[in-house]
Amino acid sequence: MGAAWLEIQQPNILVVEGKEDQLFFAALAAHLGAPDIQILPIGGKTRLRENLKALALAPRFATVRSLGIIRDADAAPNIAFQSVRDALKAARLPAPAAPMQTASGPPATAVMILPDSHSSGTLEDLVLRAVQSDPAMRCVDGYFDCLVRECSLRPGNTAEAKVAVYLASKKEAAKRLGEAAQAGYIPWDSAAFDEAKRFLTELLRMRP
Amino acid sequence: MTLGELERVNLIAGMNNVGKTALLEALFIHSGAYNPELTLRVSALRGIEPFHVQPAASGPTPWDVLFHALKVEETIELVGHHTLVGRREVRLRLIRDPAVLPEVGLPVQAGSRGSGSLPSSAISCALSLECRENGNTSNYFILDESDRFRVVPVPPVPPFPAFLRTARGGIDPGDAERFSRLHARKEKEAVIQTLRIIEPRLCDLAIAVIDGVAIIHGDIGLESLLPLAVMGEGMVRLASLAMIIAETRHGIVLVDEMENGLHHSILPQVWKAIALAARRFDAQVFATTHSLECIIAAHQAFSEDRVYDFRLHRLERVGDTIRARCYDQETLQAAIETGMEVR
Repeated sequence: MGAAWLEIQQPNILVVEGKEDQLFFAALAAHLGAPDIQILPIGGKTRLRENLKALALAPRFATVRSLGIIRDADAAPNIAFQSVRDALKAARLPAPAAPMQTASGPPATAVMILPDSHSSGTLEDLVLRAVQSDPAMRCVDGYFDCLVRECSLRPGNTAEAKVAVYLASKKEAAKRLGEAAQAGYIPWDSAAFDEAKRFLTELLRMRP
Repeated sequence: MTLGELERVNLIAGMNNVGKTALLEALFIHSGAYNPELTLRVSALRGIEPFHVQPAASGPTPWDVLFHALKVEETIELVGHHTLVGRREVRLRLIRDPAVLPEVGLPVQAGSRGSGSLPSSAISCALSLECRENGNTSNYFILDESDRFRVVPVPPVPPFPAFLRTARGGIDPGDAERFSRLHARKEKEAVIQTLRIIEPRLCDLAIAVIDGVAIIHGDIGLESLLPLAVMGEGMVRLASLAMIIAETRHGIVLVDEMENGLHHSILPQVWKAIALAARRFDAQVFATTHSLECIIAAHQAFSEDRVYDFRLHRLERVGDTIRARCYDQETLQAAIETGMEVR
């Protein structure tokens, strides 16, 4: 049971997978000057269906104009999108036909699959694209090459491991991705974030 | 307002003034089927004692508060589906028109339905109750005769019983009689077991008559028995609830503000006892609450049981209407786990 009970406080809701994603997208929304988005970390893959049903029954949900859902593609973006669609339908909410499209409401809904709607991967893959030109990344890549060459070691989740090492290059090391985004370590001006920015901006414009 | 997906035990949550108690009252009147006198009883349970209207007076009537936003010219419509009686429609209508009131009084004057005659001019206002079920329509009236209320014709006993327990504390005068009946049926052990949730030392219950008043006493191993009321409001309320369920076989038990007088730590056990009693006596329970602990306790108790015959219904005002949001086990579990508000 959570310590503080979640209440709907904004007309625009963004559902993300967990706390790190919540901090990350809150930082992006702040960068865009979009304070009217309430970000809820209830979109974990295994519980999305039940959690969306609970959200749709929550007090003041009738005041929600737009509902966005962001989740990782993982191995298969089409399966990830379909699972979100199924969850929306189970909660008797409108389901868009494709990622980045809008379904009329109320509330209007839209889905974004990370990193780019058609590739496999996660939020960390998107971040790696954004920091690829950072000089520190040459060292990060070199470190992992060295691990393979010298120790025959490969991390279980390469993107997650590379982001962790990249963030270790920052002034305040040992921050997780969400905290790092809050600390201003993510280059929001990178073109890699254009689709995410468009998604959040559209979320604010969407009307039931 | 529509309330669907009902279960054996139903908990009603929602903000203040959203209509939780009114819903219980509507269920109570609907369960009574043919008896318009219940409309006065629900007002009395809210602390509004029935008052009389003088003939030709234009002031308020004792039934005005039943009507949404005091729109007394409208008809109250209560429609329910029951496994025993099927679809039942109950319509309540206030009659104040002097041209219509004499017609309401006619059956009384003719002596065909009431007892004795009554000049129609003595009826200051009336409430009509129309009940449709099984393809039959029957009409009953409660008449304000300035100095008394009278129901015509005499309504039959409804097909199933219903009992409404208000949020107010204190001893229900009917509890001692209920206990006596349970005792006579050798079913008092069920009540004792339920009360042990609060008082594990309780080994027996008995009636003692003090100054002509029958009072339920409990034996907790002291030199003499103690009145139940001395053991606390929770004991009185839980005993009353257990006895009401046992007395409302195949019927409906309505409980306002379920958590009153009960410590949050015992609520899961209380819900387990209610579940057990409701199944044993085939009663359906509707209770209201403001308490998150009460909701979580109910969910926990029913989740640990072999059957999850429980639903949470949250009432919410949307514009000018009241909507009921129904949580099944899976959704309530998700809401509790994610910390999503459900009240």
